[in-house]
Amino acid sequence: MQLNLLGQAIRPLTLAAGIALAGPMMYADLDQYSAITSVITSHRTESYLRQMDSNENKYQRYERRFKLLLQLWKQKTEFLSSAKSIVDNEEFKGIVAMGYDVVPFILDSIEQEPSQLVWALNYIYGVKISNNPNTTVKEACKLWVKRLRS
Amino acid sequence: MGEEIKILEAFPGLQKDPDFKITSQDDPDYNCIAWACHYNNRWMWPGGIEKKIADGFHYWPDGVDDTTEVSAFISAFEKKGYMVCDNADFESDYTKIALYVKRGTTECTHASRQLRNGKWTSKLGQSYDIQHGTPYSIEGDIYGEVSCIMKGEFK
Repeated sequence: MQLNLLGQAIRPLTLAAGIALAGPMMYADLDQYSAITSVITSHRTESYLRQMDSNENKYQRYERRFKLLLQLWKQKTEFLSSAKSIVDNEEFKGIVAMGYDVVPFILDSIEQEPSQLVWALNYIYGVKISNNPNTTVKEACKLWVKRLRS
Repeated sequence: MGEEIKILEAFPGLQKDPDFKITSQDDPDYNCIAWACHYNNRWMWPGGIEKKIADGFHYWPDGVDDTTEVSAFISAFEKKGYMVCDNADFESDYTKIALYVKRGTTECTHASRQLRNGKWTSKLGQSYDIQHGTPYSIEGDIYGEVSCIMKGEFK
């Protein structure tokens, strides 16, 4: 009985020690849903997966940051008419400062809900989408989505 | 209902205004100044770089100072046939508008317009049109206070 318990205690320690020794040679991922540990020993597969993780993390990080800035910008400016106040807002500037990386998120947002967020594209690209002075904000949103997604 | 609560939180004076109601969907195409001028397809505001670079933001009357001083807004509405008057009381032959400034400044923040039923209407930035009983019930942190009332002949 005591030997059995001792064996159960040692087994995870052995596994952990093995993973630690293999260290840089392996890709280990604890699946957050299944709690299954997978260990990959191929260098190429490991570096590929690490690269994928890195890209995904960057995308998720940017998306999270964009959503936070968008929410705060809306809260602070949705009742304002002053264009200057809307674009001088710190969160709006934060979105613009993310540059081309934020464009896919802006397009998703203005496609679902046209808004003055389209002005961030004017600042990032430094151009208007239309030279027609009668273009409305909603029309401009559609034109930007059409141009950048085509 | 969620929108109404959000507006009541932003403009506490509306909590005691029995005439308050939301009268449109949110719409980014026009703002309060355009709405005061009966337009719903343009964003009217004096502008610097924003005016040159931003889509859908194009209209400010020619010959009017391109600043956010309330005097520039008075000039803009004078071009539309309005004149400064001394009260917000309903007069059947006139349409009245109210201009708002940040407290302690002359920087214009908003305009509202009197309706034919004597109530007032405001376009709240990018969001909704609302009806309110008096121009004073939307005073507060966001729009500041009423700076002047103007009236123009009803057409």
